[in-house]
Amino acid sequence: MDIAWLLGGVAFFVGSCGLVHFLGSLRAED
Amino acid sequence: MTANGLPQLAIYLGILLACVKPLGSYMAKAYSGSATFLDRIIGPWERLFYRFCGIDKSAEMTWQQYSVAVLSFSLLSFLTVYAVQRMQGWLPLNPESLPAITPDLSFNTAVSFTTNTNWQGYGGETTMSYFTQMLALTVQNFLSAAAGMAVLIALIRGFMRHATETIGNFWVDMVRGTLYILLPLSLLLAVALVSQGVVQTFGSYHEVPLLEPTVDAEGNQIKTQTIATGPAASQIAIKQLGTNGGGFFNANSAHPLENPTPLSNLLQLLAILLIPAALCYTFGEMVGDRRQGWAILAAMLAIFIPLLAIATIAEQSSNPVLAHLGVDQSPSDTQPGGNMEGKETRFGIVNSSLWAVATTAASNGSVNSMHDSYTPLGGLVPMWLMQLGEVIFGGVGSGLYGMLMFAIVAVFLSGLMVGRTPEYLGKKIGAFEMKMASLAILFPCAMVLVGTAVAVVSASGRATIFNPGPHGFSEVLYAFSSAGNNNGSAFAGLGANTPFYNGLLGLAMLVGRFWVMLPVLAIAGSLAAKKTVPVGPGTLPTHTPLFVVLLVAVVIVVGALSFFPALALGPIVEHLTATTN
Repeated sequence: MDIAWLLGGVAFFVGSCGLVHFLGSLRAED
Repeated sequence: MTANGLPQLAIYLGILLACVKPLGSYMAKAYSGSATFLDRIIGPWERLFYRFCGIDKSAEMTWQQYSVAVLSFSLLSFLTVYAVQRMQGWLPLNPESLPAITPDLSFNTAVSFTTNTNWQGYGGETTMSYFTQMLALTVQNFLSAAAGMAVLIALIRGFMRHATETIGNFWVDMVRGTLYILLPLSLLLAVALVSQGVVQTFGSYHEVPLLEPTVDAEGNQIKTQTIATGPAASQIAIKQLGTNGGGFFNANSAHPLENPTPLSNLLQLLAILLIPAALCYTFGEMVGDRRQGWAILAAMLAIFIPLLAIATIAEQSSNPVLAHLGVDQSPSDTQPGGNMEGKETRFGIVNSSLWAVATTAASNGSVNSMHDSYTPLGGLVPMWLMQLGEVIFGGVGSGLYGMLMFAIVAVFLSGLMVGRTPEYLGKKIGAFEMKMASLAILFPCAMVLVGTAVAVVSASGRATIFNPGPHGFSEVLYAFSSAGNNNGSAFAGLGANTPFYNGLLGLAMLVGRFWVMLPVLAIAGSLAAKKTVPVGPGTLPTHTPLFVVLLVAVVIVVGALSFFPALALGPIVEHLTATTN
């Protein structure tokens, strides 16, 4: 059970790093 | 409103506004690296900390580097708080031998304290050891608050700087915010609270005889009561100053050992809005035009004061259901009148309503009365304040950067009206800034509405809604409004400590925090790279009453359009039902 909840939290933060990259690409297009 | 209510509210606001300039000016110095009167005491500790952690204080970060630093620091915070809770049974300072927290609740609480929300799916005194309260939760109260303030300062640097790619150093902003602002203020407040009777001890709980023995639900006689204590004052000080809100005890600041006297109540109330209000002045000072900060503060007050009046009047008016039964609810020498359900007699209606409005205007979430027991209209006000995006004062740092997103939208709309390129504080607002501001405003709205919808249509969500009808819907809507906007207060009544709610509310808290911060930092980076445009005849002045009105209108219209349908299904229909039946 711990693994599932921990992975969920880690996945969010890793995904948020992807969001940083995506927002950066939006700015580059602008 | 009663005659003694108005002066109480006026005195509170007067003291609060008197603190704005001195504290705001001090914070501007602290974040600019200018000399402060605490340099002699804190300076050596700051330098030692940089050396120990290998931080180069002169190193600058781009907005992407700043964002990744925020995320990685918060991930480490999440993992630490989770681990401490899961290992609680083996760790020291646990005189009541409290066991480890369940995985889903550990996840929810770790997310809650990392995101500065402090939503509590647990009762502090029956769940958390002193070790967990101090080294996991209280530490996060400082760090999550400092992180919010750091992001605000990075945004302010975006307005201040021109033709550069960098917006400061996250680690330096964290250290200075914690050492120069949060720690000294918390120390002062904690000592003041101890003087009023707030407990601060490592001693175990007390078993005391009841003055009047009673019986439990099974008819067994109860002769004693367990009085929980602990290191509460140190946690309560930062819980208010950092707009965290997580109570040491389950009843939060309604508990007599967490908020014993009218003076402790006033001090805590002031602490809730102190830093968010003063940061407006800091903003004005740092961008070189104090009028800009006052204008933002005026817009916040223009929404705060009428909503405070509505909530207070709603609670001082009689409960319509009891009125139908012919119960006398008028104020007199023998009763306060109005709706006293869920309120402490030592605080009364005015100080309970003021707290409810202040704690939801700021993303604080501590309570000194139970919001679930408010009249439908009285309860609507705190709920809507959260739904406005926690920008009316809001969380430390997060409230002001949220309000600045609305300011960007306001100048964009006014630019559309007059056909000119919008600009704010000398920076042209382009398509990228508008996209980012829209994301920062819409992410929390989406989490609140989608989360509520999922909860009420799924069997897992409905299983723990114990109040049928519109009030049950209000409880769910309130929970997601609180989580999605990082407030942390609850309507109670809803059984939220289930894997379903712990997971979904946890996701709402994460999105409401970090997916707002990232567009804000992107705007900071974009603005920093732009040249500053001199003020021209077509520039909209953003320090005037006209702009204040425009900003207030944008905040209200966005909040009303987003949430009116949902509010109509909850508190509004509940109010109409109570008054017409």
